[in-house]
Amino acid sequence: MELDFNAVIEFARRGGKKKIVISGQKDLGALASISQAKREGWVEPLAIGRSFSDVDGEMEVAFSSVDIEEARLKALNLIQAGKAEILIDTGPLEKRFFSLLFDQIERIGGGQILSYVSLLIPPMTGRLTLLTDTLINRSPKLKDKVGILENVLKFAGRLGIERPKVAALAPLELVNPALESTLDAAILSKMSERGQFGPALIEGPLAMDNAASSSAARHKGIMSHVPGNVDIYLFPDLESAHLTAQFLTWVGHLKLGGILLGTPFPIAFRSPLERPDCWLINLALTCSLKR
Amino acid sequence: MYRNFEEISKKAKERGPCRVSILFPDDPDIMRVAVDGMREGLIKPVLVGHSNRIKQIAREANLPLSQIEIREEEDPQEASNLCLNMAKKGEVSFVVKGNILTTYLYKALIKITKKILTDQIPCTLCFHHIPGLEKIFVITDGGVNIHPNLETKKKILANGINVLQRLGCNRPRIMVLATPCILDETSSYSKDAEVLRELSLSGDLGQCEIDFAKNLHEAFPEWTLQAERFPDVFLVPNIETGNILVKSIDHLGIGIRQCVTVGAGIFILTPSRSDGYEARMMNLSLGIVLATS
Repeated sequence: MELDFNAVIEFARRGGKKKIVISGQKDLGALASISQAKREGWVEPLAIGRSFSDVDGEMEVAFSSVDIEEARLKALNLIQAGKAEILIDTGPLEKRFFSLLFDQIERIGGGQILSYVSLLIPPMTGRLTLLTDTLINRSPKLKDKVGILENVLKFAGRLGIERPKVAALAPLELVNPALESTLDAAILSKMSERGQFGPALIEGPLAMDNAASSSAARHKGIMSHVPGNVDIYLFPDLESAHLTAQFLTWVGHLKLGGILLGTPFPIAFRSPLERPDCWLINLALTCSLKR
Repeated sequence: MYRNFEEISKKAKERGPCRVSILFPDDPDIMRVAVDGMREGLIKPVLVGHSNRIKQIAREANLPLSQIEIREEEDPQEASNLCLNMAKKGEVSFVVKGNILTTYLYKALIKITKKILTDQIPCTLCFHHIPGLEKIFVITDGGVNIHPNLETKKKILANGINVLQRLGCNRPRIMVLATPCILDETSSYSKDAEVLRELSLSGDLGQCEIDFAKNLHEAFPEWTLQAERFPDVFLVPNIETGNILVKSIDHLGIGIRQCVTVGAGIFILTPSRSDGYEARMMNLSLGIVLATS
C-alpha cells in the first residue's frame, strides 16, 4: 500500500500516548484536532496560558492567567524539565516566536541545522512525497544542504520509507558551472554514490520534468532509479521550494502537511503553507519523531 | 484574453496556416505534429536538420514527407541560427523546437536580440491552465535569465506585458513573486518586487498593474482564488524558482504548461523534449495565435 496521510495518522494512533504542551493563541481547528487525538488516546495535552482559560474540561489548562509570550516560555521550561515531550504552538507565527524558539534551541544545543519539510500527495503518483526546505533556509550552501538532507532522511526513516529516493532539483539536468544549484546537486549525488547518506539514493542535478517522469529522464539519457519514483524533492533554495509549494496548494488544491526538523524536541505548528484543517496531520507527523 | 487552451486552438484554426521552421524534428511525435499540423491547415512546415535521419523517422512512422520542405543542416548550433534567421527575415512566422537541447536556441536568440534590439532580452514565458480557474496565466522567466537583476527583470516584464497585450489583455495584472519573510526582515527579491511596483505606479513599466501582494499567501489569505483577481503574469525571482515551478504544474499533475521563448520579436516554441503529441499540437496553436496577433 502507498503511504498517505491516513497512514501517517494511523502510525501516530499506534505509536502510544505522547505528553504534549500547548502554547499560542486560541485556534479552534488546532484544539479540535488535539481533542480528537486525546479521545483516540495518542496525546495527553496540557494547555498553557490565558488563551486557553475557557477550554477547561476538554483538556487540562495551567498558568491560565499568563499571556502568549510567557506561556511559550513556561511551555519550553516544561519540555526542558522533562514534563512534556512535544510542544504545540498555535501561533501567531511572528518573528518573535521564532527568535524565542531559536534562542532556546541554541541554549539546549543540538548542532543540527533547522529545516522544514512539506508533505503532499501529487495526483500523478498518489504517494506521500516530501519537499524540503520550504520554510527556513533562504539560500542554503552545500554544507547546509547536507544538513537539510540528513534531517529529511532521518524523518523519512521515521515514516517507514526505507530506501528514500531523493531528487536534488536544479533548473536543468546538466552540470553548469554558472549555476551553483547544479553543482551542489551533482556533489550530493556523488556523495550518495559513495554511500555518504546510507541507503538513500540521491540523484542530481535533475530538472523537475526528468525528476518526476522516468520517460522524460530516459529521453535525456539519465539512467537512474530515482526519476519517476521520487520520495523527496530537495530544492535548491527557499524561493523555489516555498513558491512551488504555494502553487501546489493554492492553485493545485493539494493538501499539505508540514514539520520542523533539527530541533532538540519535537515542535508542531501550522506554517503559512498549510490550510487550517492540517492540524491533525501536523500533530501526527510530529508524534512520529517521538516513536 | 483567452480562458483556456481550447479557445486558443479554435482561434488558431481560423488564423492558420503559418509557415514555420521545425528544428531537429527527428522524433516520431514531433514528425506527426508536423504532418498533422499541415493536414489540419495550421502550419506549412520547413524541417531543419539531418535530412536522412528525418526521412528515416518519417518512413518508420509511415508519414508522407513529399510536400514538406527539408533544409539540410546537421550542426545543432548552425541549424538553430538558420531557423532564427528565417524568423528574423520573415520567412517563417515562428520556430518550433524539436529534439535538440534548448541551449542552442537560447544562444542563437541571445545573439540576434543583442544585435538588432539592444534594449531587449529574450525570456521564456510559460502559459498555464489549471482546472477550476478559468483563465490562462503566464510564469516567467524559467528558461533564459539565470539570476536577473532589476534591469533584467524590467525587460522580462516588458516581454510579458507585450505578449499578454497581443492576446487581448490590455492591462495585465502582474505579481512579482517573493517568499514571505518569516524569519528574516527582508530579502533582495522582496526589495526588487517593491521597486518594480513603485515603477509601475509611476507608469514606467507601461500599461500594467503590479499586485501589492508578493505571493499567493499574501494575495489570497482566505485560500479562495478568483479569476478576476488572479494575476495574468507571475515574475519569478530566479531561474531555479521559474523552472521548477512551471514544470511542477504539469509534472506533478495539477495543470497544463505550454512554453514559448521570445526575444527580438521572434517566437520560439520550446516544449520539453518529453512533451508528447497532444501537448505539442496545443503548443502549435499557441504559436499561431501569438505570431498572428
